[in-house]
Amino acid sequence: MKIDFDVKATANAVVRAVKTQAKDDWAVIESYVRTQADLMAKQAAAIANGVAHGALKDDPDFLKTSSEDLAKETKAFAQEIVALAILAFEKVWNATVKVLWGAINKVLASAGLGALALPVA
Amino acid sequence: MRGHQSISDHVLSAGWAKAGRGGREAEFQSPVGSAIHFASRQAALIRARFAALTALLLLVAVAGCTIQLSPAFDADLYKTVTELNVKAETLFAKVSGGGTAANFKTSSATYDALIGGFSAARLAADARGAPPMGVRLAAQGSLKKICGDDPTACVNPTPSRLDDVISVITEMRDRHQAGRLPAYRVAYLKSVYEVYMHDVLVFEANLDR
Repeated sequence: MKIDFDVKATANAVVRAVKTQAKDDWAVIESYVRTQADLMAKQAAAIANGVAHGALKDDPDFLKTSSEDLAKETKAFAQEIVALAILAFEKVWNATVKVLWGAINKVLASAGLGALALPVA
Repeated sequence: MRGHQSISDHVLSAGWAKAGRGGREAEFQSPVGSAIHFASRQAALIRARFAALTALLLLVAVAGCTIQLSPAFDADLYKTVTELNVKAETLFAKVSGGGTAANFKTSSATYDALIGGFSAARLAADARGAPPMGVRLAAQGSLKKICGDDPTACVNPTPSRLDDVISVITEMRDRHQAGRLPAYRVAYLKSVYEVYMHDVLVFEANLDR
């Protein structure tokens, strides 16, 4: 039985799939970071606005709670980036697996054998 | 022992017809010779198939399986939080000038709908769970420093963020009801709300893969 597996074409297809997926995912993370930084900057402006409107005198807890909020948001910000990165890793991995399985199934089909279902871990 | 040929040698030698003893291209003519030839060809074919299948299996092993590290997309949850977000932003706009105890009644039902709606969405986001493989990954190495003792928060962050959203709206409601909601507080609470809500919307939208 002759196996006609084009290793170079498959490797190129994997590289293309990874590049495209990674580029898309990086665009998502970059956009998220930019918008979130913008929102946190607006929050800093809202704190300054509160202080300017007498919050220190009328609302003594304002500065303390707002600094606590910023600390909590910074932690959430880091966790969100990890969550998006984990999701990106999943997408890149699966894109690679799909290309490789597609190439394997192409060979199996040309040899008159049935296609294998894509397994899920 | 060249002088003592076995019976099988005689049988085989009889099969070498015109090409002479040394010709590899010569064909066996006897039934036994044909059977051996056929068997060796079959064995070669089986070996070739075995090698091809081994190569394919190796490729399969290298390729591995598709994996799921993040939760499944929940279209209903995404629709719910998107609609609640519109309602919340409308409330922020409505009380942007500040809230008093006197005008609390006009927004009371909206506060209830938002707190109840986000609480239900939080439950749905929590109930879908986090894939164990993703949680194990978030508990490793440098990710552990960020995710701390709760790696699930780095795999399925939406429930925690919705908790924060509920806290913001509850604080706003309580301040409004007590007449302690100046405009700068509304602006500040809106900014905190948007930080958390942005997390929810970005993550949930990206789960749709």
